Amino acid sequence: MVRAFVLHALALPLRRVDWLLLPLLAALAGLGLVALHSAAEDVRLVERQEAYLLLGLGLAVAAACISWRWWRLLAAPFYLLCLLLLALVPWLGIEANNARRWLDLGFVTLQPSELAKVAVPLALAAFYGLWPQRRRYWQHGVALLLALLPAMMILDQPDLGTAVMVLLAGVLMIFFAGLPWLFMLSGAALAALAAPLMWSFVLADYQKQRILAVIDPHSDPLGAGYHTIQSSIAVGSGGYWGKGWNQGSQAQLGFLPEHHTDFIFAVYAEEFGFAGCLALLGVFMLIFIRMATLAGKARDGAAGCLVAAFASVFALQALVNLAMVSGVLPVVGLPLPLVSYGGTSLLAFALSFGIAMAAARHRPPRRLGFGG
Amino acid sequence: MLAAGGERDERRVRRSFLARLALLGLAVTGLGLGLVWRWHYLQVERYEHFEELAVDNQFALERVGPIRGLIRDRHGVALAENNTRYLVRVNSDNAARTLERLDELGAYLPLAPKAAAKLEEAARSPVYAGEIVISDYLRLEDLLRFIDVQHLHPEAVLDARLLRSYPHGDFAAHVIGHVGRINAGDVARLRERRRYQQYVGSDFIGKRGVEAMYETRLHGAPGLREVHIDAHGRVLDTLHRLSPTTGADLWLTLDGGLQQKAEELLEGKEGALVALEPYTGEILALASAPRFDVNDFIGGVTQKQWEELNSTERGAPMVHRAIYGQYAPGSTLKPFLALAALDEGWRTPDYIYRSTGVFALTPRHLFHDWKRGGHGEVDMRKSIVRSVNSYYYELAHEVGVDAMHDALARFGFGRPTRVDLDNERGGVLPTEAWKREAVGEPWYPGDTIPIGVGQGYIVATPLQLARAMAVIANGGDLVRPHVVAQVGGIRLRPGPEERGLFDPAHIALVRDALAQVTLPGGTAYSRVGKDSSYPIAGKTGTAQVARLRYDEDGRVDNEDLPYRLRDHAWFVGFAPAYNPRIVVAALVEHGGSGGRAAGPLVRALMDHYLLERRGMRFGPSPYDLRWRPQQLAADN
Repeated sequence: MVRAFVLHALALPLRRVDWLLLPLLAALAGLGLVALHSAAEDVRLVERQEAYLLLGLGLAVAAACISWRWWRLLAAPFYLLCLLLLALVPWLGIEANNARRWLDLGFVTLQPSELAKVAVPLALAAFYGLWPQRRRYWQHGVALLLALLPAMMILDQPDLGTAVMVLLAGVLMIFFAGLPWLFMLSGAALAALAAPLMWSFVLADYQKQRILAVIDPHSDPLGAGYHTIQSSIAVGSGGYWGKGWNQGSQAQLGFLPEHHTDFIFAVYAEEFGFAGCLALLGVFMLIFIRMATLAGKARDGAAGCLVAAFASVFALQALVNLAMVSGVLPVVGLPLPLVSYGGTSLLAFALSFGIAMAAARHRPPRRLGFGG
Repeated sequence: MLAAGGERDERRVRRSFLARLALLGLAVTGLGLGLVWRWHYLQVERYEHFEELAVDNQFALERVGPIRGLIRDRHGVALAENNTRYLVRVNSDNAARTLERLDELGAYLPLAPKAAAKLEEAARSPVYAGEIVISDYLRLEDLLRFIDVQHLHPEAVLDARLLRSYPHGDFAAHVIGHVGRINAGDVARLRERRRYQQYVGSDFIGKRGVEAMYETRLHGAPGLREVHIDAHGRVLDTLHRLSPTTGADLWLTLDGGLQQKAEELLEGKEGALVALEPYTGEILALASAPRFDVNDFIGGVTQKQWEELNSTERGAPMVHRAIYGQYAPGSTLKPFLALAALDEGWRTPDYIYRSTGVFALTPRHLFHDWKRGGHGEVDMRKSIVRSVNSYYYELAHEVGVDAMHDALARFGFGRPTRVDLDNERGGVLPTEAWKREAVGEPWYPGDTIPIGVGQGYIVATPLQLARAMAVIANGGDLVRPHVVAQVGGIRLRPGPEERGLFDPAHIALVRDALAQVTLPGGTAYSRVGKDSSYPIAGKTGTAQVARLRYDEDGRVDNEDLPYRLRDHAWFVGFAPAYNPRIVVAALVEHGGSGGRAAGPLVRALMDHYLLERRGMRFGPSPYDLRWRPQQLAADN
């Protein structure tokens, strides 16, 4: 009797875990490990990534076990902690490649900008959740500010790719929370107008070169165009079925830069070919579809928005990374979710999936929620 | 519009959310399809193109530099060889790390001048920039010191390569020449001759002397190897290999011992010594003083060194006086004019000229004998033995400059000997037309007279004079002088340029006269012929540097002039006179009179060659009577 109660009490939170989504995530991470095994010269990288992966799956399950009510309360402290960490980066950060992005906490190195990708949508969801039925313009304004603040701090590191993703996460939240179409369209028009100004005043020279390199990589084959050319060669030489696991010459001989982090897909594509690429994209799409389904089913409006935002950030980041490696988009420092080597990114995505599961299963009290 | 609560608004908000979700789903699907299209393009449509690029990335064809041929003297002594040169290099990947610790390395190693700059450049370069040599030409002590600390600097790799070295330093420096790093000018020349590909694996190229003249043969041909490389250009393994062809060895005609003797004799002087084998034109010794150390040139000389090497103050050691220095031949020209005069029928041996000590072209244009009061009755023999100027003044005046030009051109004057060395000059053998062209003035009768005694516009190199003397020594062949005896085991025997130039009887007459020059009563007896166990034929000469000035008695004594204005001293001869083995021409700049300054050098060189090198023994024998001093009529 007591034992049954204890078991029931333990099992209750586990019911929030989405047992369809979790295996898909595990499958994607598994593909990532396969690619990483081939890409990494050092087997310790693979071992570390495996550890992160187990930790990530545990984190996702644990996050899913925490009720959405608790998450709403945790959102603000989490957001503030994230801001604090970001603020510490310029002083305590580890410098690499002319940028400070990592924070050494003694026992672990952490990339606060990855946490911001979770914290910002969560904070916005909690914020919008305060007024479940009313939308006012000022709410969108405050939400935008909440997203802009960490984005600007990340841009300062500098890390354009992640900053854009954080801002995008915020904007997607605002979009799903119901920003009128008029605003969306005028915002988009404004962005289009601002693009030339961005080009002249905001982008650094190396960023401009990267953009130009996509248009004509052969103008600077050993400089800005090198990544694009070499990754295109890697992907293209994969053919239909690929060269086989650990057989990719581009990856194994070191022609691919960043081949275990941002460009890991090139290794995968070279070794597994067009068929492997379709399989990988399939897994990504299934995860996205499952997330979108969860979002659509969510009873709580703000929670639904959050799930949708997480799903979009995940999918868009994946697509941008794949496009970059395939030589369609400029080189921006965005890892491939759950596949690229990198602990913080993996844990951040695991956390977001966990929170999404919790949020999707939330049943709001009838008088407060809409839908249902 | 969004403000109202209630069921209806709730539904509208939810509908709007679902619509937005669907829109996003569409966008993501669209982008995904775009990616599929892109992958199809890369992996299916252009697969072959990218496959080829990937293969190109992995394999490279490398050239392997050949080993340069050696240079030896005629007895096989190595004059230019390949030594191991040690250097320390750093892979471009490690450039940044090395740069941080460059000072530490600098404590053990003499760093290359541009090492820091090159490392910085490599550290900044996004791609592999190859190997950077940070220290080159390590001395033994640097090498040992570095080996001790090498484990502290794993990125600095000790490497050995071949380096041209000249074991005897300045020995025969002008002949051997030297190699130097391939520079932009060399690249342009090689490209023009379509030989640049041969030099891809090489650092050095012949710059001077036979190193430059026989560059094509000495260099050899590079080998090839097909290698498997990674993105850093590091060689993973070699697939195929075609060994380079080692360059051909050169054997020179130079006799090392004789060359050394010649250089010793010239020590402290400015001048040249040429020793020829009279029948073949093989150059036994070719010395020019002062000398320079060719090893200095391999790593490149500094501007200051270069200026010093070319400064007149230090005697311009770079100038190869034996083939590039042009001097008035002075009286050494007389035997050639005499032989030509016999051959052309201008003079018979018995023609008597009465020397009074002065030859007057006009009462105001006087040309003097070296002996005040003149030599009295002079036939051809005496004109040579006593070096009688006025005999040749008259001859020159009579036949004119153009006839002399044609006669002397048969001895090879006025054009390069085409010796197999770089930077040879051909001297000047003037004609009336030449003066109009070169000087821009008409030829005056007064210009012709000094030509008869080898002064005025005529100039020649020591090698030209030695070759002309070889014509008399070998009985009428104009040989082609050369310094290389064999290339890669194949003997070079350039035949004479011209054979049987003169009647042997005429040659014998001139040779007799030349042999008497070194006998009692001849101009070179005390300095050359005295106590010689073998007969020597030869002729002294004095090349005027400054225009002669006369005091009331006649000439100003040469010793009173400043060094740079003193005459150059000549002696050109061969020995043994009736069975010649060696022709020697000596020139001592500002040495004063020919017999005194140049004669002893020639005698010493001949002694060394005939008695020591060849071990020839000359003793009293019936045959010696042939050349035993004939009693000259007492000079009046």
